Amino acid sequence: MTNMNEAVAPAQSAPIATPPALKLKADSLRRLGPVVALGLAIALVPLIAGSAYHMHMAVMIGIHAVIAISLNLLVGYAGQISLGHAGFMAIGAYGTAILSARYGWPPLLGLGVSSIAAGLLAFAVGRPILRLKGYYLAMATLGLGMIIYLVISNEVWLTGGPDGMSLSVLTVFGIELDSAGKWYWIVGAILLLTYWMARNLVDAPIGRALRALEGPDALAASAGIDISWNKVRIFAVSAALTALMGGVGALYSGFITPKSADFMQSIELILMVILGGMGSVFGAVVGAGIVTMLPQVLTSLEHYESLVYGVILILVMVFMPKGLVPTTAHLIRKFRR
Amino acid sequence: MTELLQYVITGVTVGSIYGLIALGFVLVYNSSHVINFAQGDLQMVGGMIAVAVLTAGLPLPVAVVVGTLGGAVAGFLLYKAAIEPAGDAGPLPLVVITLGAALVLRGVVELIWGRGYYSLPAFSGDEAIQFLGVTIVPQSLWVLGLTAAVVVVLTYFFNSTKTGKAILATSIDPDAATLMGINTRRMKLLCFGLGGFLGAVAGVAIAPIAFTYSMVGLMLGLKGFVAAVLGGLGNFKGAVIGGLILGVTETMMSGYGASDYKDAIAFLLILVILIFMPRGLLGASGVERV
Amino acid sequence: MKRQNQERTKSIVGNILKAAFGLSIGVMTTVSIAADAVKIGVVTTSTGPGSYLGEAEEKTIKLMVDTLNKQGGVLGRKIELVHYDDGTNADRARTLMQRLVTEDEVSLVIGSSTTPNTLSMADVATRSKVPLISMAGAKVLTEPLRPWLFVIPENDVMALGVMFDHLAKHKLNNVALLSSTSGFGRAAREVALELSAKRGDVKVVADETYAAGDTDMSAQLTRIRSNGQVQAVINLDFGNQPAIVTRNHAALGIKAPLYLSHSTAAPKYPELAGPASEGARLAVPSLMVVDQLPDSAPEKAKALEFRTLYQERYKELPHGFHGYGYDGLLVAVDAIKRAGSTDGQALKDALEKTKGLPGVTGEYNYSATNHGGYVPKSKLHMTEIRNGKFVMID
Repeated sequence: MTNMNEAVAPAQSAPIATPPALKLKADSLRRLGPVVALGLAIALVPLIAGSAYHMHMAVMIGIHAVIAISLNLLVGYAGQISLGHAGFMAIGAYGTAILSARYGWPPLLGLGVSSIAAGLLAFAVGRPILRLKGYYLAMATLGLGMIIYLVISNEVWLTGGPDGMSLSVLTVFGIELDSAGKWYWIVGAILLLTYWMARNLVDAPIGRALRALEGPDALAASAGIDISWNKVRIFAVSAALTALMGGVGALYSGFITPKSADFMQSIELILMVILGGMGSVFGAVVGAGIVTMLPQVLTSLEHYESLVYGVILILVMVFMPKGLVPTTAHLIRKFRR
Repeated sequence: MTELLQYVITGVTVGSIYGLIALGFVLVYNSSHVINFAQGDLQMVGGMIAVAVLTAGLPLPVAVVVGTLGGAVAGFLLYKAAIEPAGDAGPLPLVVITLGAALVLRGVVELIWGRGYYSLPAFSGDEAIQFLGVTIVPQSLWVLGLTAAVVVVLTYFFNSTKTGKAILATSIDPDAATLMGINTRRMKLLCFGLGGFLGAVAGVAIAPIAFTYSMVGLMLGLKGFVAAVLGGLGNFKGAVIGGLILGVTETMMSGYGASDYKDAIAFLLILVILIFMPRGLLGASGVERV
Repeated sequence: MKRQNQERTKSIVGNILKAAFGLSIGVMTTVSIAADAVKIGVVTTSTGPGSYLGEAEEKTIKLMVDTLNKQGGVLGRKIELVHYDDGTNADRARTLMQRLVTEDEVSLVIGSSTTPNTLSMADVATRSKVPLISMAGAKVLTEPLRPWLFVIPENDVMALGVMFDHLAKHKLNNVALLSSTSGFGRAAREVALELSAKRGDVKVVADETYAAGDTDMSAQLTRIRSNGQVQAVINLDFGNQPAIVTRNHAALGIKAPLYLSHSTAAPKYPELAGPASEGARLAVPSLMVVDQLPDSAPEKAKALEFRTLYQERYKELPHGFHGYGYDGLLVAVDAIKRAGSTDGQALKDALEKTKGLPGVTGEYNYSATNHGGYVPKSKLHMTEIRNGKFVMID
């Protein structure tokens, strides 16, 4: 069983001495502060971005950040490793593509339906799978992801197979969403909303219940928490959100291949969570940014790319085993004292 | 009937390779509770070093020995350079470190030997053996023999030698092991080295059949991981049995005309097994390790 | 050398800083280049499962750009190459295409090495009106016509046609297919089935597949062996697995001859497969058999010249995919010369007027309705492996 008790809770509880009214205010401020900061950052990026390529990267980071947050709920708070989230991403992407391109559904309806379908699938397999512990769970989710990947690669008549399939440009209220600049605001809004919801969830009773889930099950159970129900619920929500972003990504890029469903993609997603910091909502956003940008930054190294990428992973984990954000926050707190 | 027999032979050969790699996973897991994602790449390193030694003009047996030792050295280096400095970072960060190590190994190999494919000559010729209408390549026998030998030696090592028992003690309770005067760090180092060695054995054994190249560890590593979990992480016999089940299932699927879905069916099988046996086929039951 | 290293370190640090502060991730890989250089973008699949194709193309294009620049470049300007590796990942190929057209502002892009990655990039080419020259060869790239996409290799239908002609001529009318489930193998299998149905003289009597990464195909070949009708086995794949198939084929003592896809044509193939490859047959591009070509062949002189050049720099022999890299750059540079400018629309028009341009794998002709470099007859030659060498056969 993996030991994730060290995962840092993002919010420390306020000092006991504070009067209740003030505490409440401070609480909501603390909760809203980061959300406002992220909102400002999102609003600022287009001003700094120099080209359409930068906006493209920003959209990709946004998409990955939402997935990383949803995966972090599962990994960081509920202590459940999933190596199959790329599979859910692909359900969203291919579901949207197939329903709209092959069956003539409105793309947004297709997007909604496939996200819900991914959630339902996760719900259905969740109960038996989530009883597994640690690496066994990792294996089971990996298997689930691989099966989804193989179906997509093999059913050429439906998915276009390894050559991929195209989606037409999405039009909403007469506006053609054909550029990164336009998609940026949509993805930015979803990210902000997810971020806000995740922060609230972490502080709400269900969040506390979730954190209890990463400890020994017996303990959580004795505290009256319905373990499997909570785990399954968070797994389903996480899968649905991931599928939603998979679908958004597909509509944005207009072309999808099974590659986006494969094992390495799942690894990248989990990497975002661990590098950024397990159990830190902001960490998930930072992790998504780094993992998305790193290959682009390193591509100028040509043949040294994989070597340098590997060294970076090792160094971060050796010096910041809790992830970038929790470690940095810890250092800042220490510095202030 | 001949066909069935042929599938079994092929499946057992492929499965032995999975089993060898799975054994490497189990060794490292037992000592540090880490899934070593570089296990497949250690296998690749072994194959590549053997090819390089052979190309330098040395005889095949020397190449094989140097290749396997090279894997062991790579395993030691992995522990010394990346795992030990991380201290008690917890399993997931350590898993990421092994993932990084896999990329480093791949990167280094590509810088030295490029991304091309390399072959090693079969240990005892290419003349296929015909037996009851079944074709067996001599190299398959080598693979089977090496796997069997490794299992026997490992079983003896862990059951009957002091060092082996010390490793087991470290895996069960590191603190208690330290109190007993066992140098747990050294035990972990040993396991990473042994893991690298086993990977490299698989690497040189399969290089004459399926060749070696910088990316070969990716797929084989994944299959080895599957085999290790299937057998019940931490169990040597389980790892080999897991590998054999995986190999034979795959081959049967291909043989009876479902190759498109052979991997999917293998994964489905694993899901079902895990649902009914949450700790794998031969996994330890009882108290959960936190 | 040290200077260059410093430049490189500087550019790495610069990159990371830029990335941290404004998502700005421009690259300055090479030492400063005259401002008016002609910028050509190249995306190859140099890592991952497709590296076998992309690495060859990357090396060739880099070599030829250096050679061209020594001779004075094009339009009196130097050529500046902006090269990226897509890692066999279609999403990444698309991002890189985006980067090439908006950040690096190249005039034209050559890439990528595989079909899905090219398809993924083609859409960006259309939207940004930058011509894209692909080194992948599936029929789907040119049918339907994509206005800004041009294709170098002859498509898989023509390539398989050469093999089927040979089979029919030697009365090997019943064949077994053994294909990979990778993108290439799947596409080739579809084409083979279509071709067989259309021609009628070559019948597919067995149809087996294996997955990428499989290390033994004896099971599939055993099934094929037990099928009494099979007169020839066709393997459709590239990389190392055809060599495994070849060895399994020999070990199982299968009498039906083995035919392989033209994408297997590299000196590495007989080397990997060893004596098992004796008698294996495959159609190969001119570059592989340049010594055996009649002097009248239009591509011979150029191919010999390129081979020498390549061997000098990389100490190895080029194979078919090197040829696609060479011809991709050749077609691009020819169009830039004729267009007299680096404007996207002018380049597209010039590309569509390419006529009788001899490359190392054959002659190139494009038009407004044909972006596949249509040639009436395939440029491939049927060969058999004899003593580890590709020998042209009838």
